[in-house]
Amino acid sequence: MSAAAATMHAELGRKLRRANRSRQLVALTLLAPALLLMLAAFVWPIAALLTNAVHAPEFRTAAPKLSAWLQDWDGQALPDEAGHALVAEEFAAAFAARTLPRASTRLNYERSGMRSLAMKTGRQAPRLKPPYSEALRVVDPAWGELDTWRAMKRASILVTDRFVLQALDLERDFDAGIRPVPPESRVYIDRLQVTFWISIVVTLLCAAIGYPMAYVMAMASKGWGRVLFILVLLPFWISLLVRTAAWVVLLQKEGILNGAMLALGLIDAPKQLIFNRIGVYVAMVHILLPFMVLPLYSVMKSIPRDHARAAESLGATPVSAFLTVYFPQTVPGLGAGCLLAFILSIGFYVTPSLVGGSGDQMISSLIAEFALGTANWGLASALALVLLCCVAIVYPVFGRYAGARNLRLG
Amino acid sequence: MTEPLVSFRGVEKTYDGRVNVVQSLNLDIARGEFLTLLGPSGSGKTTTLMMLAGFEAPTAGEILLGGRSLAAVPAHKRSMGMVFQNYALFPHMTVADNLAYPLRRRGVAKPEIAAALKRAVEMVKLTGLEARYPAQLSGGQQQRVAVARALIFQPDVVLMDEPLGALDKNLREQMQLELKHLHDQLGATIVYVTHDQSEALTMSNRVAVFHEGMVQQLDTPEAMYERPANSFVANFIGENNALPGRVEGTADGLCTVRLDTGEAVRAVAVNPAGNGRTLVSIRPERLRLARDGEQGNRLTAHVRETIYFGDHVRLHLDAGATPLMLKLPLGEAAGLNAGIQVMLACAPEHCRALDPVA
Repeated sequence: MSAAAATMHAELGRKLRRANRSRQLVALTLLAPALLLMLAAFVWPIAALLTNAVHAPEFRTAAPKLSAWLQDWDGQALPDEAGHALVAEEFAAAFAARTLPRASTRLNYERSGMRSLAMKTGRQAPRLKPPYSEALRVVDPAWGELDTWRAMKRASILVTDRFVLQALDLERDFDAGIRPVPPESRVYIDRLQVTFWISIVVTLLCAAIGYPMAYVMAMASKGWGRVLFILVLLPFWISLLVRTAAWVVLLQKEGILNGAMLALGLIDAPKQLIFNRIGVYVAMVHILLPFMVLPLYSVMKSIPRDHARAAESLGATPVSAFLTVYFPQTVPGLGAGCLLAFILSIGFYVTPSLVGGSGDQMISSLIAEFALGTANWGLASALALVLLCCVAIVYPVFGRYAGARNLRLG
Repeated sequence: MTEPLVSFRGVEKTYDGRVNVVQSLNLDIARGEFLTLLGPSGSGKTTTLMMLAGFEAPTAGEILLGGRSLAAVPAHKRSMGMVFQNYALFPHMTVADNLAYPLRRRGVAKPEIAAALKRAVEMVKLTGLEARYPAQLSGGQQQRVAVARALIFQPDVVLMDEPLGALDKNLREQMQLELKHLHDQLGATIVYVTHDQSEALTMSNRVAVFHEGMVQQLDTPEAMYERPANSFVANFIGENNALPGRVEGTADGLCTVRLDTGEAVRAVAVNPAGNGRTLVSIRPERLRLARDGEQGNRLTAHVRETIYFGDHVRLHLDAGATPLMLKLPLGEAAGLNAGIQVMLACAPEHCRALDPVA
């Protein structure tokens, strides 16, 4: 009897597993295109970009045997003849293969002056005769310095923290460890601060303008609600560039707003409203407002109107009903809106570079400049990495305090 | 009746300036009464409740609470606890916080809040669930929290807007009894809005039947059922047989009605129309099969179908063009097959000649 029951249970279990397996297979098949796209268009490029921030194989590519030898060298005393012979051999080969310029750039990162030393050595190496230790010192006395070899040893490993340090306005002093760069060459921390400050102000402005707007939309009758909804979505139909350019037209010194204020006698001389921080705030808030309004609206729409009435019937004044019952329920929407606006504004670069002044350029402008202008992928990637880390810190903090995790998407 | 707690004096309400959703309402509510506003949707009962709560302002007339006009009193100062159809519990607060909400708004001291909370939770049998959030409660439990929250600050009047509408049938009937017992126990004044007549009959001291913005009848449940004032009430409350006819003469409060089937019946003259047209209202359980040779009101009808209901049998008949329905004890339905002609009888005091509007 019980044996029969056990057999039956086993049979049932097998059937269930089979049914589940086929369902999982179908689900996986349906998901496959999206997963592949994610992998190809998102995970891989970002991983590659971030690898760029710390990956520096130039020297090892140009001089593989020398690199391997340098790994074994203890760095305490000047190398023997074997090391010098490898330098002569591989610098000559790299010079011929045209891989030496990039390798010497990498060397120069490790010690200034190494670029010209490397190029000079590469040019002359084919003509050198043993003993190479003396021949190299004839090419440049620097080959007799321990620091030259130590710099080469550092360049021979694949990973560098140079770009990340540079992105944080730090540099490696090879005697005293990491130190800040001299004040006059500090650039990136300042940009990062400007970026965060602009993003915070823009987010707060979006919240201040978007909250009442979403409230009116959620409370409006069906017809008006639809009109307001379209007005909020309308900016999405227009290119970001066009919208930004429109603000230039509106806000410039000879623009409509200055003209109107002059005509009304509100101001005596045209105000500088664009190509400074004001212009950046105005244009960015305009662009990001829908991202604040939409999550707020969807949360507000789901709050039954009875709640306010219930609170009032229980003795709450309208203001206290709003503060104790309505507002707490909108916090997840507000958190989501702020998070969206903040993260998007951290990445802005077209708008600030068009309507901002020189002091309003955000970190993304620098990333774009390094990636597209000077082809310094290492630094561009390192700046991107720093930005990503900032967002990765902000997100859970927001989630914890603003309840963004409570927002149910679907 | 002693001094009423709440009085509606000529209250009117229009939203669009053309149609009055409430028309010249005069209504007195006694202290400690359970009054139900009953009516189909759009009859003005909810608007009446909202005006009492202070969420809508009357366009004419005034509402008095304890003799004082409420016109200038905002909702939050009216001391009226309200229970909403969807409960309107605050989802971001625990049961305890929801219940304490009205007390905190009134600045009640903490120890008193704790004591009141304990009493309220015991009263609605929710002990142990104080720390739960509304989403973690069943529909019936949420309902109890909503009721307790409206009662906890001992308001002058408790308003309930179809509070049981979202519950399933069994739970609804159970909650009806619980509300009734709570009312008996606390003696609170309750104004209850519903479109469910059985709910109204079960719980109320008095029922006001609303139709097209007017109170059609204001009476005890028993009087409402036994002595409907007009055809609307007769049809809306319980089941009803309505036989059209013409009044031929009146004597001693009873009139003779010549039915459209040709037969004459004696009926209580309630409010037949001026031209004599009337609908004679007879409750299904007051109609019975006539004994042979019996005198009095007689109706000829043909059986259309018999339906077995377990504890009784329902007989659907046609008297000429008028459909009739009557309830029979189980034993009496034998042999009443479709098409058979039967003779029905009904005492004149249970026949009521009402207005002819259907």
